[in-house]
Amino acid sequence: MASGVMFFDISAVMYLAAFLVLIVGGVVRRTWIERIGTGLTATALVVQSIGLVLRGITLGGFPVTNTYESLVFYAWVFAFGYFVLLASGVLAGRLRSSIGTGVILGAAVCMALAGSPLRAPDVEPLVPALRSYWLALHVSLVFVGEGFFTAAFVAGVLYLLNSRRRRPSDSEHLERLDALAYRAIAIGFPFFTLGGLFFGAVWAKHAWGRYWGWDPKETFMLVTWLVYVLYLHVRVQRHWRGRRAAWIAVIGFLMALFTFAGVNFLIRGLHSYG
Amino acid sequence: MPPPSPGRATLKRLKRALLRGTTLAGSLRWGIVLLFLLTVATVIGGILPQSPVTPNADELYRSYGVFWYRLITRLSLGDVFHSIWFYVLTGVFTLNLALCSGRRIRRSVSGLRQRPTDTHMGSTGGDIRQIPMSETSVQTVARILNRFGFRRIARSGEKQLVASRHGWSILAPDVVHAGILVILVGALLGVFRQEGTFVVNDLQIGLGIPACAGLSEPASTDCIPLPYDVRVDDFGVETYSDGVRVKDYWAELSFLQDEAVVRQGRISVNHPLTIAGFGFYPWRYGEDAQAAHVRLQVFEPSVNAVTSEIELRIGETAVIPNTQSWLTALRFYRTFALDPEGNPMDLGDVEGGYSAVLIQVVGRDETGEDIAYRDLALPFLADSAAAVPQMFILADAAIPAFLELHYARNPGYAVVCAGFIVVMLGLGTALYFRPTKALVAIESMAVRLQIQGRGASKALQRIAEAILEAHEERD
Repeated sequence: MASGVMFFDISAVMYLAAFLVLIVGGVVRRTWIERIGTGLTATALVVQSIGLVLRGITLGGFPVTNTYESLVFYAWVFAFGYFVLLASGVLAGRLRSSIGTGVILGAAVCMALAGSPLRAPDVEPLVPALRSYWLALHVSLVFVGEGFFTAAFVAGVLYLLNSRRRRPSDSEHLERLDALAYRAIAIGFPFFTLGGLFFGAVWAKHAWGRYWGWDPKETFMLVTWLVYVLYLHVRVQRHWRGRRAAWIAVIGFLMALFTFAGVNFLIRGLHSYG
Repeated sequence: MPPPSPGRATLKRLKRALLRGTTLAGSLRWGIVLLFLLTVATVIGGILPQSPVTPNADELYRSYGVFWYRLITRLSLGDVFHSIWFYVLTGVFTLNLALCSGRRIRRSVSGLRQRPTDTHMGSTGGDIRQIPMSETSVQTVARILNRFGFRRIARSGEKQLVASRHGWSILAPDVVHAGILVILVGALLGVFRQEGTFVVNDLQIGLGIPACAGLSEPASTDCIPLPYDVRVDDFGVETYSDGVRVKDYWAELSFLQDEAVVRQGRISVNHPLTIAGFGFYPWRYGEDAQAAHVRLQVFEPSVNAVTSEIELRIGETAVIPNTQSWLTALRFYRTFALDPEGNPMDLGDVEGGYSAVLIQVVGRDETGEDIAYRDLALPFLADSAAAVPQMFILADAAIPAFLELHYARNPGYAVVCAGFIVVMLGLGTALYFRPTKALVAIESMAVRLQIQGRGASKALQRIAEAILEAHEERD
């Protein structure tokens, strides 16, 4: 059974289309083209949400039980996070186009990976360990945190690319990218700490009898957390700005990505659920 | 003036060195270095296979070569998180955090006690609005600021006010640090944890596992460090509608004291039972092949017929009927196969294969000669065993299910949870309650309002409206 897959396939195509439209809009600097891109993203988000709800009903739980579902949900968080940032007014002017393009590209890539023949879209019954309300709390909060880290990553990469050109007109744009990366990490970090470390520990205690066991997923989640702790310390206390801070934001996201995907594929552990 | 005595001078030098040492040990720069080292150590521990799945010395030597073999073994890189150097690193980090927090908290508390000043505000920092109006009183503005949460208000000149809101939130980083210290203390308390596992199969249902809490030398390792005996009354597995895929596994437990039931309960995955601080968890469910109950047919080659049957469990010994020999069932193979060197091996649960039992026969044959041999009982008569006095056919095998239960008590868990709650409070405070400062200058034909900090523009708008409203009401 592959519930919701049709909705996910449609949303994947729409994310890709939205990404291309946003790219064109960014290049020709036409607001109406960017609006079409944002509209397409919003439609894709709605279609994907319907798919997630249907899949959740079929599964009888939160649909993040395997890599396919996790990738789909990850893409959803990217798109949803983009609209949260838009609504908060953080994304204005050039940021709206550049960050939006980067985040929607992330969503499209996740959907493409989920749709690859390597990942079975079938709804698999939950294994005993995943039959818990902690699944929704733990995974969703981690993904919310990582959604913000993605925005910080995109801002960091754009900062690194733009700062190489050193055009005086870019200085304000660079400052805004730097501030956005900091703000995204500052918002995402508490979610990541609460969902990933705290709720993860409580659930592990319930399911396995120990709150921490140096499982590869736990270990790399700690590494990711430490990298962001490092970022916040050097940014707030040592006043690191610009390229150095952007590099840490990029490294932090790469660690988060490795924790999510790399550990699943390369290192087997208690968190390997297919 | 007499010169200071040598003893006092040494003491002074020592004091100065100690002060320098603690300053360095608690410095942010050192903290960042330690965070970096901890990150690197954790990455190493995450990438290299860790104990108990660490490759043995021989494998390490062959896979990595001499240099890496020496490095991995000398630095305990196969068990990073339990190595001395990792403990030392964590200890030094804890010290850094404690010293840094101590210094920070002193600064934060003294900052809290101070009256608000316009330092760091400048004339252009934050959001500024000039509200045109005829002169208003300082008291009116102070009252309005108070209404908007600016509780600490001070005069900065005759017609100037400085006020602050959420000033206490400067303690947020200290709260986060304190939470992390509590988590580290909780993790340290984890050295006093007690845990273990025990396995029950179908045949052991209703049998008690004795308590051995308080015994200085437990008589057996098969006991629970609890004041109660534990009895598994039943256990089983719940499957989905296809009857194959496991939905849950469960066990009914009874806790007994002097043979009287103190408490009963059911455990399943994610639903443990806690008693006397110990949590009980279903850990693993499966079939216990080495507790199989087998029925063997005895084939006499001399009469070319099955002459008798023996029923026994793996590990048990039984007399072979009408002989002076004993048979012991040594091992059960669910799916029997021979490895390339001709040794028997178990392929596990494979469709199409056949089972086997490794047996040992000891005794005398009909001529009175001592015999001792090992053979395999297969579901059919094997040709190769023709030289032995009896041959054995595996007629039937019943494999009991087993459940492995885990029990654990960790006195640090509650402390770690408390630490996380404190950390989250600190992070929430840092994120949502940043200090806001307001500077109000009452001029002859206007009020100049300057607000700096979180939500400055919104606060500026609302306070300006309130000042205007109050002014209109007065008029």
